[in-house]
Amino acid sequence: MGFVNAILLFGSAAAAIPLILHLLNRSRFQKIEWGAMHLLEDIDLKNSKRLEWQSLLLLLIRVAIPVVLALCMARPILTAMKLGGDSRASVAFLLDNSFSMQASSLASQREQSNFETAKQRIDAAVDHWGRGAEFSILPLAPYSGQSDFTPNVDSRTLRKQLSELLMVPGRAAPGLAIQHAKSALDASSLTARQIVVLSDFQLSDWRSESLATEMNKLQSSIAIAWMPLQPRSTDNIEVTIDANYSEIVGQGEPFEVRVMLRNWGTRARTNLPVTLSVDQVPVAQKQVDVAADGTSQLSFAFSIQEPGQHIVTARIHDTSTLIFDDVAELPVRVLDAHRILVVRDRLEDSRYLETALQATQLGASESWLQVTRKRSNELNESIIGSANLIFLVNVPTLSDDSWRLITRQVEQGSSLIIIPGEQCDFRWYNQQTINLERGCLSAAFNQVSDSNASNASTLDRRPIGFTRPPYLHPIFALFNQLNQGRLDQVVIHQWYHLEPVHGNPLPGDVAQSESRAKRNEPSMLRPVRASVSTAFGDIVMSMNNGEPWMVLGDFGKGRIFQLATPLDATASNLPLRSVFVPWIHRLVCYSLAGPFEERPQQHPSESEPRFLSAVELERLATDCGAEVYSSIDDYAKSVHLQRDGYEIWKWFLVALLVLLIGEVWYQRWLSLRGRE
Amino acid sequence: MSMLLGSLTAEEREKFVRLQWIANQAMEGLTSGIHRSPHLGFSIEFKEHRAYVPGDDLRSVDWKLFGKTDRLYIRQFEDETNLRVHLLLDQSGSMRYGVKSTRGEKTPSSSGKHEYAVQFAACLAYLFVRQHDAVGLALFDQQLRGYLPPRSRPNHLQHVLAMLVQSHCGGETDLSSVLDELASKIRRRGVVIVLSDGFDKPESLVRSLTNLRAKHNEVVLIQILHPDELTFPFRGRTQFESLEIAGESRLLDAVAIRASYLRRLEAFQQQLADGCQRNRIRRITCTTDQPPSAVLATLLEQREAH
Repeated sequence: MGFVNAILLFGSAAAAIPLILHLLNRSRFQKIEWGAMHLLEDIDLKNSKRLEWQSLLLLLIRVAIPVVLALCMARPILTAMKLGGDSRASVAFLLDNSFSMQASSLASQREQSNFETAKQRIDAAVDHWGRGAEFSILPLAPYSGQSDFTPNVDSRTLRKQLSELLMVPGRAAPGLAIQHAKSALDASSLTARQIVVLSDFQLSDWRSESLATEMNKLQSSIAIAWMPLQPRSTDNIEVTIDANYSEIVGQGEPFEVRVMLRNWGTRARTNLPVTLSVDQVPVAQKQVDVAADGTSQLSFAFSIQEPGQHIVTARIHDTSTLIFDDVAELPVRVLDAHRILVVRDRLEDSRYLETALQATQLGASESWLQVTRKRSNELNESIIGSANLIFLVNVPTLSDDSWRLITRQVEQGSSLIIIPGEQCDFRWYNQQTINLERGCLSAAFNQVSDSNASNASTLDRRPIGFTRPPYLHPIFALFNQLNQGRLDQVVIHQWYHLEPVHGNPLPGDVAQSESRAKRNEPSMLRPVRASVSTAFGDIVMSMNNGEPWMVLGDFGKGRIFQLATPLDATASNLPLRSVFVPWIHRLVCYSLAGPFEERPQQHPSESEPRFLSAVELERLATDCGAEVYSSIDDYAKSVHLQRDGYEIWKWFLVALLVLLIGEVWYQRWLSLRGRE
Repeated sequence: MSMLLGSLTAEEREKFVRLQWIANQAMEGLTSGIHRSPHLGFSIEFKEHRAYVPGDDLRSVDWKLFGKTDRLYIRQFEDETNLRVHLLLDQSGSMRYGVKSTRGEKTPSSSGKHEYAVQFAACLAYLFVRQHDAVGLALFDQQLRGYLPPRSRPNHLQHVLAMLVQSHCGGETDLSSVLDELASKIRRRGVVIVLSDGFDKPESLVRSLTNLRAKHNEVVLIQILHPDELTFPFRGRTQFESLEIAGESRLLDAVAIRASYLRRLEAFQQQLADGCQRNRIRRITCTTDQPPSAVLATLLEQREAH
């Protein structure tokens, strides 16, 4: 307990006045010479005891009056509050930087986002805490921009960190952030600690059953404060482009972009304009109706002539809550002219392949793929050296010079796709795998298998084909959308066993990593490894019997694909199905352009304007042991209460009045009682 | 008379004169108030005639002798002039209540009980002497402090008054033993008037008065109390110091004990009254703020009624 005017406490010395008066009166009692002493016998003992406590009580009241008056005037402050009465505290601000915080804030008079409002509140909270306190700011959504969360006392540094903190597409992760905040507070030497969470408490982020457990793991000395920020409106329309990976198309090649609109609100929208832009230049605009809590879809078909990286943007003109999901972007890489070399000794071996390659250019204003067809004995340095992609289709063997030229070309960045067939001399192929110096294949071809023979020995009559979606590798990810074709319905009749190469450096583990490191590919950005790394290398596609169907190995700057089946109708029905052409297109694009870059996507749930209700929030706060502050003023009061304490002079004033009234009443009661 | 006054101090002489005047005034008022001669015949044996004086009861006029002599004579009986009245005055410490303290302590209002008792005794002595009755006086506290045998001589009143003037309070009260002692001194029947506050054990006091009554005395207890003793008007912390026993005191909250005290007083008075009534002892309670003549008139009226 402290006092604002501690010097006035000396006023409590006035308590000595009634005490002295009492003692004086006690020694100055009146004396009466009395005759009827026999009438006073026996009653004096009982009377004396009652007299003692009555006078003592009256004395206590009279002593208490000046003491309470002095306490009241000294303005006592109760400081033994939650933070242990320590005016210095270490405070970790957890700022929700998920995209949902972009919603216009209800608490702000201006059109200001919840994120900006939260920043202002942190700024104000820092001012309220004043000097001596330590602060740290942590994002609620995983954020790679800041890693040092150590509390510091410099408010300028804090504000700099605050201004640099940005919203990220990911969703808020309160549990993880709480752990980070606890670690940050553990680094502080101050015993009074507090975690302040500023969030919109979006339902999808905070509806975690383990959250309360995580919060309760915190030491009891860490106080938790929640400052919810409510959006001005819960209407929202989300725009997405129906593509998981960036598109790679040829120069002038037409392609389709599908724009999905999701209305999360309760109000139907009509004639909502949707604009498609390429590199910020509008190329098309359509209007669409979106029902309440419904979806709509638009399709835009166009082509891009300029080779290189382009950004295709779909945008709606909506003034509803969230802005970040009013725009969807799709990176598109436009390839210029590339040469493809198809090596086959028989024309029919590449018939389906060539048809598919030709189909990929249909509609393009210019042919961006130049396909060259050669027999194996027609290869020379100029032909091989100009090829960006080489298909070896049922080629028995190659001369050493040709193979050397091909491997050199692959090393320099081209791609090689080996399609086996009955003409292939697999001993020659397999020698290439075990040649330590020149070995470049990831897998060795083994004997051919027939699905009929294989199934005859088993009870499983399931046809051999590809595994079911989802497919993680970009070449096949297109077919995760069933309307693009069903890869899992492909039936494979014959295939060659692809076996790992023994004694060879494992291209999948070492060579790939090294080569990727040289290319500086952002492998960490890949959310899930698109292919399974084995002793072969990467298995890009497997069959439903567990055997690999397509294996990818890196060699130098290039990559080598090995297929398990020929691309003809006898080995499988793949060339006969509709998925064949788009798959060949994806294969060619991927082989020519390199890995598809993952397109950063906001978490879909961030667009859903569903937040914890006041009741839910209160219940969750109770479970988590948190205090909820609806405004910065409420929080400021709490801060001042914890920092400066709680002024309790009013209670002392009430006590003083009670004592004064009590003293008058008690004295009157004694007087009246005496008159009876 | 001059010898008697000479034995008194100047203050006592002043008191004597005042007492004499008070007694005279009281008796004059009394006789004029009741319109009857205060002469009370207490005997029936004829002794002699005496000349009529105004105020004599006409019933005592010997009309036969008036017819013979044409003069008014009063028939006097054997003991009429020898009615023996004993005035027993309590001068114990408790009777000092109401007297201004010499130590400067807070003193109650009204006159003291002892002073009142002295005045009352003087009035009675005056009354009886005027009736040619023999008046004796005994002063006592825990023992007999002074005794004046009954005499009917006119100047005996001066002695009685002088003795009253010289009465001083002090000492404890032991009414019963003193009355027992006096009972042995009173050999002829008469009237015994006890002037006291009666602050003794009621049963022993009544027993002693009964002893006097048993010797065919008419016993009258005039209980003199101070108004303070009936109302207990004190407030706050009060130290009650005994007027009888030196050093005995009680520090009490007067307000708190008031009710208890009054209950005890009532019980004491009731016990005393019951005892007196049971033994045909006349008892009159008076307070010091009542005029002695009024109390005396009440006493006489009660006697007339009986």
